Order: sequence, then C-alpha cells, then structure tokens
Amino acid sequence: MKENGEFLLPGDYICVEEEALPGEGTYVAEGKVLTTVTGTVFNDKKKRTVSIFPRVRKPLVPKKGDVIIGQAENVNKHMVSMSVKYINGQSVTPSYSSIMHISHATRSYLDSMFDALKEGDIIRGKIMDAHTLPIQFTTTYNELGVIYALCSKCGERLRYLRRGTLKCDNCDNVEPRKVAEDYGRARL
Amino acid sequence: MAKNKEETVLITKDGIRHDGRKREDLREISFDVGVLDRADGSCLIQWGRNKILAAVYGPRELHPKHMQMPGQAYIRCEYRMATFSVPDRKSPAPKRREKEISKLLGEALNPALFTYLYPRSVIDVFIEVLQADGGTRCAAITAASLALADAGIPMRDLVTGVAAGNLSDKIVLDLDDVEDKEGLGDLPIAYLPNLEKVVLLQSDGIFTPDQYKEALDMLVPACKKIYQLQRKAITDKYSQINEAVQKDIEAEEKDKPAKDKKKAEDSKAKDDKKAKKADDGKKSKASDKEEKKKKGLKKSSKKKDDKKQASKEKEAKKD
Repeated sequence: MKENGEFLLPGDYICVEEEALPGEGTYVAEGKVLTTVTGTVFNDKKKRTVSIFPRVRKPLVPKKGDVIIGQAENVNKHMVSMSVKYINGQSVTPSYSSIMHISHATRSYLDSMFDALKEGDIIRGKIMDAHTLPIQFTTTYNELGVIYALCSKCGERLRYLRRGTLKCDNCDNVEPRKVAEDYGRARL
Repeated sequence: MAKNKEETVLITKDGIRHDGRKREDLREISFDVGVLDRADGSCLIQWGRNKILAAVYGPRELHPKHMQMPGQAYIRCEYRMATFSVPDRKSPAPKRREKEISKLLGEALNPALFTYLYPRSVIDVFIEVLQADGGTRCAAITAASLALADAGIPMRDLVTGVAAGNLSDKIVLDLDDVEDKEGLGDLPIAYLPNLEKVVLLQSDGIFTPDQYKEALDMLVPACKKIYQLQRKAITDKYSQINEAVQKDIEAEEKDKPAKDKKKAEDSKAKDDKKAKKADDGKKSKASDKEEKKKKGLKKSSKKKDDKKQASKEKEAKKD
C-alpha cells in the first residue's frame, strides 16, 4: 500500500484491490489498483478508498448541471443552437455546440423563440443532458438567460428596461428577451 | 552519401558501431515536458540527433460529426516531418509513410488510454519531427505518451518505444539514420512497461528466428530503461511545482505566527482600554452596560432581518 501524499505516474501500483476500493484517478487491472493520472495518493481510511489527487490539469468535459456561457448562433421558431465558450467559468477552445428547445427557454409559454433570444446574444445556460449530441441546455432559472445583447436594428448595446424586456437607447427599439437577473453586469 | 556507402563500416568485429556505441547502447535521450503554452499537454524529446515535438489537445468535440463514435473517443494522431528535418528538403505534403506512421502511432496509443471515458469526442495528438536521424517513430510515441500524461488524460500506462536492427547479422539497439538505411533490418517496438504489453511491433528486412528473439530480449530492458527517463522527466516537472507550492505554504505558515502575535497585541491593547474605561467609574460602567445591551438588541434584530431576507430570496428562487 502506497503512503498518503506519494507522487505517482500513470500505471503505478498503489495496492491490491482487497486493501482499498479504487477511487478517482485509479483503475483496477488483474486485482491491482493502479494510477491513471499524475498526482499524489489520497488514502481515505473511513471510506476505504484510495484515489489520486491530480497534479496535472483536469480535462474539461461538459456534464449535467454545468453552467455554460456561449453565443446564440442559429435561432429559429422552436430551437436555438449555441456555441459554448465557457464551462463553469473555464474557457473552452474550440467551442462545444449545444442546443435548446423552446420548451426549456422559459417557465411560461413562449410563442416563438425570437421572443426569448436572438442571434448573437451571449447566453448563460445550464446543461440538462450532456449525453446527447449536441449537448442540451436550459435557461429556465432566474440566473440563466441572456447576459449581453445588441440591438437588432442598429447594433448598439441594449439596456435592461424591465423583466423580459430590453431597450436600445440609440434608436428607442424595445426587444423581448429571456434576461438573466445580472444582465449587463455578468462577469465571465 | 553514395561515396560513403562502401567506406562506412557499420559494426566492427569488436562490436563497435560507426558512431562509437556498443551493441546495446542507446543514444542520449532528454525530455522537456510542457513546452507549449497553448496545447493542453506537450513534450519535446531530444533523442540523439532527433528532435521531436508532440502536442496533445482535448478531449474536445469532434468534427466532422460522422467520425464521432458513440462509445469512445477518437484518437486523431498526426505525424508530420518538417521540410527542414532531413538533409534534402522534404515536400510538406503528407506522403504514404507519414500517413502510415500517423495511423500506427494512433493505434499504439489507443490501448494506453481510457477512450470510453470521453464518448463522441476526440483526443488530438500532433507530432512534429523537427530534426530526423532514424528511429523517429519510436521517439515520437515516447514523446506523445508524455504529452498525454502532461495533458492529464487518464492513462493505463506510459508508452515507450525503441528499435532494434540487424547490422551484418549482429543485433543492435536504437538505429540511427545511417544504420537504418545501410543495415539489413529494422524492428521497432512500442511497449507498456508496467503492464508488460507490446502495443506496436513492426519489422522490416531480414531477421532469422533466433535474431528476432535476441532482438526482443534486448528491446524490453531498453524500453524499461527509457521508461525510467520518462518518469524522471515528469517527476522533475511536477515535483518542482510541488516544491514551489510547499515553499508558499511554508511562507504562509511563517507569516501566520507573526499575524497571530499582532492580533494578540491588538486584543491586548483593546483589553487595556476596556480596563481603563472600567476604572473611570461605576457610573460609566453602568452606562456602558446599557449601551452594550442596546447594541446586542440591535445586532440580534439585524440578524433576524438577514434571516428574513434570506428566506425571501429562497422563496423567490423557488418561484
């Protein structure tokens, strides 16, 4: 059994399976618990597991419940497709693609997706299902929705007018949006 | 080169090769892990006169979509030789040899990775040969496995590669460019040293069955030797980070007692002031007490307000 805090590389032997269950960063081959990522050993004696605390970066993979930020690319009446630029505040390059059905845009009934989003909007959403492709997300929470948008007539920045409505100070154009509660103040 | 063909003695009777190495000597190998900032993981290997750069990106979304696999990640390996990597300028277009090596290396890395963890995505491995001097595919896979480890991608084991060769019926290790071209045969291997599994085995030229066995018997210990160098490269990089972190922690700990002392002094000063106030007279004491009570009431009422607000917010969220 390797001691706590020992530095190991992929493929290194930690212990036999009978000693401790394999936790994160480990795998079992022929009854032995081996390392999968570079890092230090963490031995949880209460849970009887052994895991690796990684010293290297963790691959950024979207999973259910992650908060994503991206730009609306294609909006039609029932669907919107978004390219994901940030997952939980970490930037992803190149972007992941994601979609949302109109039924997941707001809690209330929506006649058309254009009443909630427009092309080019910066949106914050939450991943509902990461097992489909593209990923599916939702904006039916107060903190989710459009966090930055430009006027569809003149291209100037829109200002928060009231719930569900944005206004352009340049051309007095008023547009409906599913606005996040921190519209215009959001930080990436 | 043509002139030297007859002059070069590949191996003497004493078993000394044209560059002074013995039969089972490897060239000098050094690794540089994490040399590229924009890649998720990278490694520069210098193996004799070979210089190879390996970069890993991903796991990330795979385009074109029809190449996505529902149950596992796709390993897209690209082996490329720079135009200036060989004495005569090499055409930059990928030729048969490069396409073949790309495919081989991808397939050799596959058993070392947990591809099922990242379905429908791709792990990109780019290998750029900056300077070639024989045995590039072995050096490339050695570097690529370090780049993968640097990228934090879960692996079963590191992958190590070396080649053996047949020089006038004598088996030698780690052929360089001249030996590769003039020799009778070439046998590259890629190996998982902990799991003791062979993931790549090619052979080109002439080997008798005995020679083949002899070559394999030499290759496995050589792989384990190189594995030790790989380990050292990663440990050196990340133990440096360890040391830096530990130094920070130690520095913080050193600061802590100083801060605690300051705090203690401050609190002492406060106590002194209180004591002085207390000395001022019983009347002031009584008034102090009343004030404190009032403050306490205010505090408690504030707390209540806070709680109310929090509950309101919760309700709002629920709605």
